[in-house]
Formats: sequence, structure tokens, C-alpha cells
Amino acid sequence: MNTATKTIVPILLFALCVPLFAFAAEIRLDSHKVEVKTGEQFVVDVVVNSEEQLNAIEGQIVFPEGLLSVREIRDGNSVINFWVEKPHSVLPNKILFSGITPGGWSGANNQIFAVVFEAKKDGDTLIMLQEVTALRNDGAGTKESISIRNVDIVIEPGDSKVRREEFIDTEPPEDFTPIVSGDKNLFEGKYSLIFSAQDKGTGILRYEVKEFRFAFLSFLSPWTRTESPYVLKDQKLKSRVVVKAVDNSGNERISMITPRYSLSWYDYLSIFGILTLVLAFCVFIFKKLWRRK
Amino acid sequence: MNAKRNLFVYLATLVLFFTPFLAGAITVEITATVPGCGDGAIGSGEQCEGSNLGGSSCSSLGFTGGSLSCTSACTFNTSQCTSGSSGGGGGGGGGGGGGGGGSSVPSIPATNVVFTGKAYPRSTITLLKDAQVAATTIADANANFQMTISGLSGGNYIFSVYSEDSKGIRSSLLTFPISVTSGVTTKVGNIFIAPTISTDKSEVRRGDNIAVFGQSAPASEITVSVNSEEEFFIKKVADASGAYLLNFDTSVLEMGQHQTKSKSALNGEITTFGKVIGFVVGTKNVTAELPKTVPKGDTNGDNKVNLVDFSVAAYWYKRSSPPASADLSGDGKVDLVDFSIMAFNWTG
Repeated sequence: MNTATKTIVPILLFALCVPLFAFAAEIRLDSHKVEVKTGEQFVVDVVVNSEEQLNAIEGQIVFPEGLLSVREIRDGNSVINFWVEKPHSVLPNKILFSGITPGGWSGANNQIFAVVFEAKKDGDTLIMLQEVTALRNDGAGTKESISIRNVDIVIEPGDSKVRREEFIDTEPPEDFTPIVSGDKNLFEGKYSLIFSAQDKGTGILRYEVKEFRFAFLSFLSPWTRTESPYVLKDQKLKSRVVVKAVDNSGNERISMITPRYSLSWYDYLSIFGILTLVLAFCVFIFKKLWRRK
Repeated sequence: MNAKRNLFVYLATLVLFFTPFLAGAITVEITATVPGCGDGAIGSGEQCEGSNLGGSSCSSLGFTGGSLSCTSACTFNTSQCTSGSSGGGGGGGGGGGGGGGGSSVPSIPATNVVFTGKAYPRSTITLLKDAQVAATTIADANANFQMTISGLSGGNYIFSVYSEDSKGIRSSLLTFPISVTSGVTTKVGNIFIAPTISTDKSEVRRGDNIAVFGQSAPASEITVSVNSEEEFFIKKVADASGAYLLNFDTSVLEMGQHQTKSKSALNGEITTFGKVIGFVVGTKNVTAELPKTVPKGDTNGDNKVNLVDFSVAAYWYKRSSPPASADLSGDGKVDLVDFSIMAFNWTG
């Protein structure tokens, strides 16, 4: 085999294989840094290229436990509209994710989410995607063949100072409208609250809910950290419900829904009764102390 | 003396503790406010509050006129704002300048997205923003429509549109990811929603005709594909109401399951193929019902597939014995495949 043949054969083989790869979806881990120092933070993006329209994806990211730790997960600019399992750490070295996009998406460089890692110890580390499934937007959930590209990071010894990956996000999550549902397949037909807010910056971190019947007593109702769907405490639907969406930078968006049913006279009577009792108690104490004097 | 002072301190503490209750009993809308929307003041993250628009108007948000109001979620309701003359792209700019006069307050440019395109004459078009209904409108007699949504943040969005024809048949969902820049009006034009499609028979005796019909833009050229061993492409022209009809002779088809779909072309614009309808070529004729308006994935029977249905499915995710309405693939469990089927049939 002469030199020319040696060069041409691999090129021809490569050219023949390219179309095969081009038609499969590719999911890859992207990092701007391939070398970091201990204590340094860096971002790894989970990105998908696909010729076919996809509408559902799930998988996991694994990495060596002693070398890296997860500082933050950002899903603000994701092509995923609804998370079945929001990207989260299930183990110190494993992140799970699963979500859908109604209508689907295709094309290059679609971001699924990003992970901010912190290098803990020097060494070579491989961050890997595993058990990834991507489904076509074809109405049958057909599996798409996918290729996976992982990322290698070299961690070198550095000082103990942490170099943060800052992301300035001052915008609150977008406006959202919670829905009250009494679906029989959800919590045995109990009324529940369904909500989903979007945040184009760092992504939604958490939701908090509070219910109250009287605005002036709202301070007595604590904010409850929750997820959608949330079973309403007031199954008579006479309370105002306030839902707060908080993004990863602490920005908040509050949405309130008015009671479906108005309060009846005995609801007012009961609160009036409580207030009367409080007042009577005050008078009692006052009189008792006055007599003692 | 000491006891008197103690009594005073005690009473003062009691009064301070119960003040909110007493005050509440007098005026219900007391200062005991709900932080955020509904508290009577425009707080952080709110655009407006009741009738208080914070000095904003339709024109300050980039519209040419109309009346601005506030939603119950304390965001601007721009549905009564008018976009005026589409602007025809840049040009001249001039005009306006003159009038000015008084002190003009510089306003932050609004982040809008304007959608224009074609659907079916007088049809309802629904626009989804990140899979939730953001706007609806009615197309004109020529099937043209325009929609504007405002108050967006800068970032990546997935917008989708679908329409319903005169028989209530829904089109497929047309999806486009768009990167929106803060303070900029993004225009998305030339949207062309794929035709609707139905057949008059679910089973047709080989050799008989099957009618394939639907709706698109008036006078558009419809390409109907009938899929067999060999794929047949037949062209028809939609009438003034956008309706098309193809009587297809099934003598060229093999016995068995077949599919048909259609796409539309007009003035150099072309749609993708729309929904796929299946039919059987057999030994008898069976009349078909119109394509179900209750799509697969509608777990609560409200004729929509939306966040509520997603929540029901998510509740049953990886749980045993899910209801049939959530287990769309019928494999006895709710997993990613069921969510994918739901996402395909999404209506918002």
C-alpha cells in the first residue's frame, strides 16, 4: 500500500461514515475550560443536535465523586418546557434529568441545562452522560438513535481560593397562572394547584405557596415550600392562594388566585367570634391586673 | 408605684400584640398586606397594580395606540393596544418627529414578538409560548393572521401555533425556537400552518374511491400523499374558502393499512406535511368519524392537552397501576414514552 492509498482510504471511510452520524442525534457535554485549578468553578453545558424533531429526553450525568462537586444547576434557557424530573443530584456524583417539549425541537446546539462544577482535588476527570434516551415527536414516542460526547477535565493543584462562575440575573421569573384542578386521577380527586413558571436567566429554584381567607390575617399563614401539583389545604376553595416562584438568583414572581367561592356569613362569624374572644381575654386580663393594683 | 409601672408595661405589650387583630376588625383592607401582587402597590417584579399602570401606556410599550390595563397577575394587558401600520420595515423614519413638543420621558423599549402568517379563512389560531397559551386570534377571509405578544424577557423561547378549521379539526403544531433579545421587537413572518386532513372512510373496499379532504389557505396548491408500497402524490387546488377535496381511486393500492397526509403551497411559501391519517383498504366500506377533537393525552376530558394533563401523568410517573388516561402507550406504566405522546398532542 503506497502513501497515497494510505491517506485516501481513511478519508474515504470517514466520508462514507459522516452521513450515518449526521442523521443521528448527538448529545454532548460542552465546557469552555479543559484545565482548571482546584477550587475553580466551571460550567458544563448539556447540548443536543438533532436532525429529527425530538420532544422528550432523559438521562444522567456521572463524574468522579472526590474530584468534583455540583455547585449549581441552571435550566433557565433550556429547550425543555416541562421537567418530569428537574435536573437534580441524586448522589454526590450523579445528576438525573427528564423532560419534554410539546411540539418538539430540532437543529443544532439546543441547550438542555448547565451544571456549575467546583474542582475539589487535582487529577484527570471524565464527566459522562449515561442511559440517555431521546424520543421523536412522532406521536408514538419512537426512540431516536443518539451519539454521546463526554468531556475530560484536567484539574491541577491551585490555591484554596474559590473562583466562582458568576451569572448575573436580575430579572424575576415570568408571569404565570396557577390552575385549580379537581381531577379524579390526582390525589383521589382532591383539589390541587397546578403551576409552572419560566425563568430565562438562572432557572426556577423553588416554589412557595400560602393560603389565607382573610387578607389582614395573611401574615399568620406561613409560606410553604412545595412543588406542582400542590394539594390545597382549603378544599372548600374559599381561600386566596398565593404562589411564589423563586429563581436561582433569588428573584421572585408572585401570582395570586382569588377564591372560587366567597365566604359565607358563618365564616365571618367565626373570625368575629375569635376576635371577640381575644378582646374578652384582653379585658379580663386588664380587669384582673387593675384589681390587683 | 412599681406595680403600676408593671401594669402599664404589661398592658402596653398586650396592646402591641393584638393591634393587628383590632385594626383588622375595623378596616379589612388594612396594612396587613400580601407581599407582591394584590398589595395595592407596584412592587419589585410587578409591572402594574390594579388601575395603577406606573405611568406606562400602550405607546410607551411600543404600540401605536389603544388602552393598556393590568392583569390580575400584575402584568400589563396589551390586548387592547394597537400595533398600527406594520411599519413596512424601516424606511424613512421621518414623519413623526415634528410634533413632539413637551418633555418626552424616555421609556425602556418593550420586548415584543410579532407573528404573521397564514392559516385557514376565519379560523382560530392559538399561539403557545413555552407550551402555554399566550394568545389567540382569528384569521381574516384570506387566512392571514397577526399576533403580538409583549412583556417578554430576553432569552430562548419555544413558540408554537396551531389552528382549527371550519369543521373543528386541529392542525398539527408548528413549533419554532426563537432567541428573543431584550428591548427588541422580533418579527416572525411567513408562518404557514399545514392543511387539516380527514377521510370519509376508515376502511374502503378496494377499487372504491376514498375522499380525502381538509382546509388550507384559499387558492393554495395542495399536495396529498397516499402512502402504499409506492407513494402517490396528487395535486389539488383549494377553493375560495380554502377547502380541498380529493377522490382517490383505491384500485391502485394494495390491501392493508395505508396513510395519507397533505401539504400546501402558495406564492412561493410551502408548509410541512400536516397530520397523518390512517385508513384500511379491505373488502368493505366503513364510514370514518371526523378526526377526534379529543386528542390522546387529554386525561381529564376537557378537550385540551395541557399542564393539567401533564401534572396528572407526572403524578403517576413510575407509580404502579396508573389510569388508562395517563398510560398512553398502554404498557402498564407511565414513563417517558407516555410524556412524548402527550407532547405530540399538546394543545396548551
